[in-house]
Amino acid sequence: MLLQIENLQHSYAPSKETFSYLSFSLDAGEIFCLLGPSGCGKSTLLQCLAGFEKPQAGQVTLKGKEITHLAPEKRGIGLVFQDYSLFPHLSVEQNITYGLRHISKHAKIERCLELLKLFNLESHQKKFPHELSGGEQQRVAIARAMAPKPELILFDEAFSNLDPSLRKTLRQELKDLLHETKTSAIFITHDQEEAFDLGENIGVLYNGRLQQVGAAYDLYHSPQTEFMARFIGSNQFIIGEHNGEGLVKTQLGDIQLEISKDLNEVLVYLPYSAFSLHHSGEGEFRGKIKRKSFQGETYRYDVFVPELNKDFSQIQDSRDFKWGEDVDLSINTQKINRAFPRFI
Amino acid sequence: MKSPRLFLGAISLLSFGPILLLVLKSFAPEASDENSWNFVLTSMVPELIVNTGTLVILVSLFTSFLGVSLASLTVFTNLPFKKVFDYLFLLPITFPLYVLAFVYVGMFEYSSSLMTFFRDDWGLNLNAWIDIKSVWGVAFVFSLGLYPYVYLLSKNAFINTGERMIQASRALGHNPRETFLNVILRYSFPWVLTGTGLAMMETLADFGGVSVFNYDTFTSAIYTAWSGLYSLSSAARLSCFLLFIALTLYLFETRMSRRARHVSLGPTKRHQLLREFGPLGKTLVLIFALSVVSLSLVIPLSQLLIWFFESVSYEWSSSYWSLIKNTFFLGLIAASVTATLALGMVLAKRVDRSSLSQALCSISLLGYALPGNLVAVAVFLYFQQFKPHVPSFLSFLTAPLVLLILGYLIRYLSVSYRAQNNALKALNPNFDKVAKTLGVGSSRIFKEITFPLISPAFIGSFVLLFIEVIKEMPMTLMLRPFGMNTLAVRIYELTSEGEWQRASIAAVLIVVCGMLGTLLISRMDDKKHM
Repeated sequence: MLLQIENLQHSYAPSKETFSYLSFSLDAGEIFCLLGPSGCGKSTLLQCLAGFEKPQAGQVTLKGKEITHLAPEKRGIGLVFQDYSLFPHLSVEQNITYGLRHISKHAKIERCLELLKLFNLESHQKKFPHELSGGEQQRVAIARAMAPKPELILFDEAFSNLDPSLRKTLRQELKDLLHETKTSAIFITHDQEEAFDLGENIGVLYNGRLQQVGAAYDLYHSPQTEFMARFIGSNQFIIGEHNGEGLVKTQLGDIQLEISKDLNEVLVYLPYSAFSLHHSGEGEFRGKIKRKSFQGETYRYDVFVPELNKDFSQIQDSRDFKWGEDVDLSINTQKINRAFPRFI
Repeated sequence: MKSPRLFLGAISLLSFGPILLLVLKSFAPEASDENSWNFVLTSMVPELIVNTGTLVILVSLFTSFLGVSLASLTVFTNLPFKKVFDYLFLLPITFPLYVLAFVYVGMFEYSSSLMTFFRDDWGLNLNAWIDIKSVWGVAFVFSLGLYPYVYLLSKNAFINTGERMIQASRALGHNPRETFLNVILRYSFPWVLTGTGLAMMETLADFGGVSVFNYDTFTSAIYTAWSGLYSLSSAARLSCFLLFIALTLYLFETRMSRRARHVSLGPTKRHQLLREFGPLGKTLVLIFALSVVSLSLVIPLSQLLIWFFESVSYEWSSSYWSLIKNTFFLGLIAASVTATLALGMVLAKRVDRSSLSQALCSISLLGYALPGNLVAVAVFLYFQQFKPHVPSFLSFLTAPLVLLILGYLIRYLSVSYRAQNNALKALNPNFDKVAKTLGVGSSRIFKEITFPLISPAFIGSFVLLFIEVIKEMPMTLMLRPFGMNTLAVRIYELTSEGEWQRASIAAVLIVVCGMLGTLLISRMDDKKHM
């Protein structure tokens, strides 16, 4: 295990807690993504890992050594920011070699050339940051962080200043590079697509708590909390009544679920995979196409079902239904496996 | 669009013409004056170069040390009472150098009460240790008044460096000290140098201060040639020397401030401290900060006030009312003329964006880099040249008062121009377009949109100009209409006779006006940011 975080707790003011009881770990070479809406405290967590913020409680261990209160410069953890934070008064070469210390000048230049080549920046060696495009600046920032060969690099919303197409290519390149060099990384992002794209494991931070940690597939298909079902999942529920023995009565019929006995009224989570669309007359519920959008391989439809008086949104289908067309919607209750307490 | 260009042309003829003529005249002098020039060249110029050079270099060293160290203390450490100190570190800028100079010279006089106190009560003869009139003394006192330039610019640059860049450096293995040296200081270097450059320019331009110290530099030599030797051409040629040095410094300063406009990261409000001092360290930096404040502010101000109350009974007379009246009269007229013409320039340049008008603006603003003595000589020569050709019904245009106002205009035009230009630049150019698409004419746009939005800058620059003019000494001394004495002139007369105590009255009046004005401007700035 490379990095272990146990029960980390942080607050800026006594009454204003940023997060608490935060625990997760990272294997050597693993890429971890921390996903959460803005203001959820994920940047503060990163600052704690880098050593710029002091947690009030808990422990951070890197390679078996406790580093919770170690000065940032002694941790050997790389850092890449959203705004790149290149040193504007230093050239690309000087930026990249800035973190190379206690090695000969020759070795410095060699390492720099190696990175310039790796990042396709050879022609920019002598340029200054303001002469580079956003994508190039970002590559320099990553090269600078990688130069001292840290075992862990933290990326703070590192791609959000780039335009979408560039973001995607750079992400893939970087992922390959991290794998090649066996460097571990923690990415912080508010962009779900980015998290799914990058992270082998994803942690979702919300309301000061780590809601769920796991592979993208698990987060998507079996959210553990209502927030997760809303944030990552389909955000579609139906109200049900629990008989106390695992049987939930809903408008869709009775569904067998594993839930706590004392829950009475529940929100039954409907994952995307439970829905299917059919031509009129071929499915379970009568409905009408209310919205459609083309997604490349498939379409996404919002369907209104009068019988349930409910909209079902973002249903994927490869067929081209017309706007306003009558369709049928089937809901496979076999795919339904979660329900959450209903508070309202 | 001819008229904006004509206007800018006329302004540059007024403000740059005299400087150009000065250079031409110095190369083609009247033969009759060769003797006195030979005297000046052989017996004065070498010493002047050494004196001026040493002073400027020492001041640059002292001010950068004080400015940078104090700025790093207020930005990056847990120095106690930071906010108060931040304000106190800036205040010395309101002292005219000649006031600071005569207070220190007076304090260190053998018979002064302070020296007597040390000698009689403590058995300490400070005069044996400290020669305030040596170049070290002059440079030290000047630096006390000029370090705020470096402080202000360094502080802004330090804050501007941004937390992210500091974090990036530390994550790459550099400790706080290395980060400060390698990233923060190197990044801020152009700003620090700009501040130092300003302090050097002020030193070069100073006349009142060096006169008090009897320390001969180019400015005092120009005055001597002018009033002692009555040799206009020697004064002109000395001015030409000074012009060369001043322009070199000016180019240095503009180059640095251009480099300082590097891409900067957005300033972050919360700044992590790089250094948290323990009790001992805290005490030491507190002592350092307090001694700077005492030397630059508390001691001179107290001495000034003590002298003021000691001498007010016998020195104050009704003649001061006329001094105050003259000073304010000059201040108001010069500030109105200058601020209005600067507004005209700003607007003209907004309409006519050609490179010609850009160039005309630039040469018109050159005067701020030039010492007052030099400008006075240039203006005088300029009028002397044209006076015979002016028809008699326009002869009022060559009155001494007009010369003096023109001198102020040349010297301070850029103060007002910059303030108003920055305000106008911040104005979205689409405002004009939007207003025009709504069918509004140019004059209404000016009256209802442009002027209301830049009027705070106009008024602010007016106040700034007023302060500058009332404390201005060399031009007022050289160009004033006969008998029109001002507070600054009074200080010159009294200090040249060593009457420090009596000079304190005029000095207090000037300092108080300056502080009130500065307070007014900072209040206006605060409002603007709300």
